[in-house]
Amino acid sequence: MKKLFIAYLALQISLLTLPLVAESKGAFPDESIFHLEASWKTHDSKDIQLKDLSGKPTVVAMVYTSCKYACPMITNQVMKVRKKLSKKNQDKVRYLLVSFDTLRDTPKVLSDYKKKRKLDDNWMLLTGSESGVRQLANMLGVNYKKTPDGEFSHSNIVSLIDSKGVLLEEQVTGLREDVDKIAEKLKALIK
Amino acid sequence: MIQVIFWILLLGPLCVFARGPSSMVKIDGGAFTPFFNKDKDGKDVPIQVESFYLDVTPVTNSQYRSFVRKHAKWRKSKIKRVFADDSYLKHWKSDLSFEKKESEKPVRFVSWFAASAYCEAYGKELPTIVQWEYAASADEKEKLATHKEEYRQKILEWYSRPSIDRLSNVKSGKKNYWGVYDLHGLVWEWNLDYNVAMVTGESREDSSLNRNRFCGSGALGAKDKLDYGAFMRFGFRSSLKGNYTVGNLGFRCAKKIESKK
Repeated sequence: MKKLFIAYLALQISLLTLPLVAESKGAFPDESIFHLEASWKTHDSKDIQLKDLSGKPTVVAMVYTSCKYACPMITNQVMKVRKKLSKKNQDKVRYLLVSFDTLRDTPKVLSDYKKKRKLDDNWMLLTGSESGVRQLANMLGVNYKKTPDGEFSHSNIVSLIDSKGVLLEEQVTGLREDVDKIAEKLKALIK
Repeated sequence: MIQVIFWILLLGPLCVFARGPSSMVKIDGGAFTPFFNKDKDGKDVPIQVESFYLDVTPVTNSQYRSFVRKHAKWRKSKIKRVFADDSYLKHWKSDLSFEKKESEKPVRFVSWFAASAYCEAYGKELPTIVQWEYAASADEKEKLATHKEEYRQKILEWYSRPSIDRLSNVKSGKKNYWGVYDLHGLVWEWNLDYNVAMVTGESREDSSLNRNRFCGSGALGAKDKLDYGAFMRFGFRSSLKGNYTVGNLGFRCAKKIESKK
């Protein structure tokens, strides 16, 4: 009887601690942006959270697809990072574009943009809620403002996030600056 | 013993709910020109502010405690660095305790992420810069009092003295035209879009926005050369980041008025 009781106790304790173990296994560092809980929709209409991006480093930029001047160039900057990697390594990285434009950039619009810009399957485009966009922009240091004509003024930043969601220091701002730093850091990550 | 537990169980939840969120008042919309809003030729560009609700007071330590009691991830010991730096709730003794005299003082050492989460938990959000500045332009008698010497003087006097040592309880001052307390004179407050002032002009041809980045050029273009208080707030906001916590920075919440359709 006593043994049975001890066995029962052991079972209870293991059941209680199980979630803790599971949590710590998948835990992200304190600085990880994967702690953001907002939901997003991908260009192929899947619901995801940022933590679903774990496992691969991600090069991320915030854009909106009806943007005529800066955003195509930001996308080009991300492409440039990609081209600096060897063919084999290009697939080890995710390239992410997140839209400011929660109203107009529906998954369909994003999917069309993806096709138009000939972005392969390593690219993901996301659209989300206003508060989700605001929080992410805050994390990435991207400042933006919706103008009365429905456009967005925004800073041009390409960021590198490691596989656990930690924003690495190197960020490229401005359109004329090179993306060498970010590419070098990325190469070191996927070596 | 059992009786004591019974009473704790019965009354515990009541204590939790005793400190609900602040009450709100309606701020009627109207045309408002923040000091920085000028077009390329230096003409005023008034903004049409829509009516909204605003908390009557900044959020107090005791209100904030009720929030972290329910939402454990925002407790001092649990919060992730990505959401708040290490001085988060520095003036609290532990996760759920602070000195008694702090109860009715505004909560401070809170980050933008924490303040946003608080407001969201009560179906509210942080006021935008324009909403906040609009409500804060009122004195006790008038909606827009920024042109008055008295109004400006009061704010500058507050800005020029170290306030934290003698921080008062909320509602110690007088309410303004809208029935709102403490927009000036107690702590500085977070805004939803505190960071938009730093948008680079590079993304679009937007010289007026870009000009706001620079104190000198902004000052030349500014509507009221004497509204230094607004300048100071503007500069302060642009120095912040989402996970920063500061000893004289608190917040209150606002709420949109749903249009009846």
